Amino acid sequence: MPQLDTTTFPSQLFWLGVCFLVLYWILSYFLIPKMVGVLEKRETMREEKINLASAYREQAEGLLMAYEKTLVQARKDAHLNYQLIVNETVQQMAEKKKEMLEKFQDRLHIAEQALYRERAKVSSEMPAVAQDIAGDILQKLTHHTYPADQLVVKKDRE
Amino acid sequence: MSDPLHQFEIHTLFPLTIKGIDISFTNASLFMVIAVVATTVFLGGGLSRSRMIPGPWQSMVELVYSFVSNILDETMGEKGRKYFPFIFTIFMFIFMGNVIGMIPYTYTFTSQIIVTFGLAMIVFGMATVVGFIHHGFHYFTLFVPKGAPIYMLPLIVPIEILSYLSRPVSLSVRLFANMMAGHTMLKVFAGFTVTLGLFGIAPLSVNVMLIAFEILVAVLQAYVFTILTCIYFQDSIHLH
Repeated sequence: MPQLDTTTFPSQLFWLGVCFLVLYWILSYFLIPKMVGVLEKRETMREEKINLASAYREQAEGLLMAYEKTLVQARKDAHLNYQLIVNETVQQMAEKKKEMLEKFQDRLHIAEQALYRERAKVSSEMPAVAQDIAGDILQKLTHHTYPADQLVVKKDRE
Repeated sequence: MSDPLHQFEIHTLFPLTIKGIDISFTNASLFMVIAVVATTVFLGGGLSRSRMIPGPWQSMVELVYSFVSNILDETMGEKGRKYFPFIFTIFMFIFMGNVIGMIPYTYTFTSQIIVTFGLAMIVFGMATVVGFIHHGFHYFTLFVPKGAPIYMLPLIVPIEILSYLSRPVSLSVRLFANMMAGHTMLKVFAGFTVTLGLFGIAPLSVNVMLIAFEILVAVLQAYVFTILTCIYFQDSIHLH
């Protein structure tokens, strides 16, 4: 078995030691720090991104909250305005109605008065007309003319 | 039929001696250097244009990194973070050694018992040093399990010490045996394929499945070595 040839042992151990030390030196002073640097940089970048994202998220949440607050306020305002306008309108309508009613009352009054006057006038003319008509009827029936003063109108029949 | 163990032979590429000790640059050394270069190119290339949104190469690098990082977190927790470079080096070195070894005409240095033993000793030594750094001489209480009856201690303590000392052996033999057995088997079936001629299609198809299995073993053994290293470190940091 060539592995048990002890004459090669010093050389093997020597070169093993040299190679191992060189590799250890290269790795620990150059390649591992570089590797760690890359990984750390990536980690910090990732953390930065996560922080940025969470900051944006907080901002967005704040905006959403403000928006909702505004919305609630707006709704309240709208409701208040609506109530105000409704009340005003109702009041206005009531006033208008009252005004109209008064106006109508006045007009009615005037109309009633006019009617009353007309009636009074008509009723004052009525006896003469009745006399004339009665006279005419009698003349047609009797072929005889009655003077107007003979035809008395009973005023109490009204 | 060619010798299936031939592939594990060490050939000197550049002879080198320091104070009479032969430290020649061999084919095994060459592939250790290749593993170091391949790891550097793989990780460095993936990170060269490090982007926030990684491309395919960078994703692979990050995948390997987070794989080892997760092993460490799950076994050692926060206290083990500072040993990450060590654990990561262990993983990458063994992983690259195993995986490069799966390429034909390459050499698998993790199939050398002395290499895996060296790695296990590095781990064992580091774990012991870490234990003494964290606990001082209190670290020896690692050999005294909590709640064990006093009269059992003369028996338990030697067993604990033995199991502690056998850690590098089990760690190294596990990796070495897995890699050597796999590569030997591949070579045996490849030998059958050549000698059987047309009927060689049968061992060839077995070899195809074996190669898939060996790639799994290559990754799995790197993982096992790493997780055991983490567990030993965890023992050193937290004392059971």
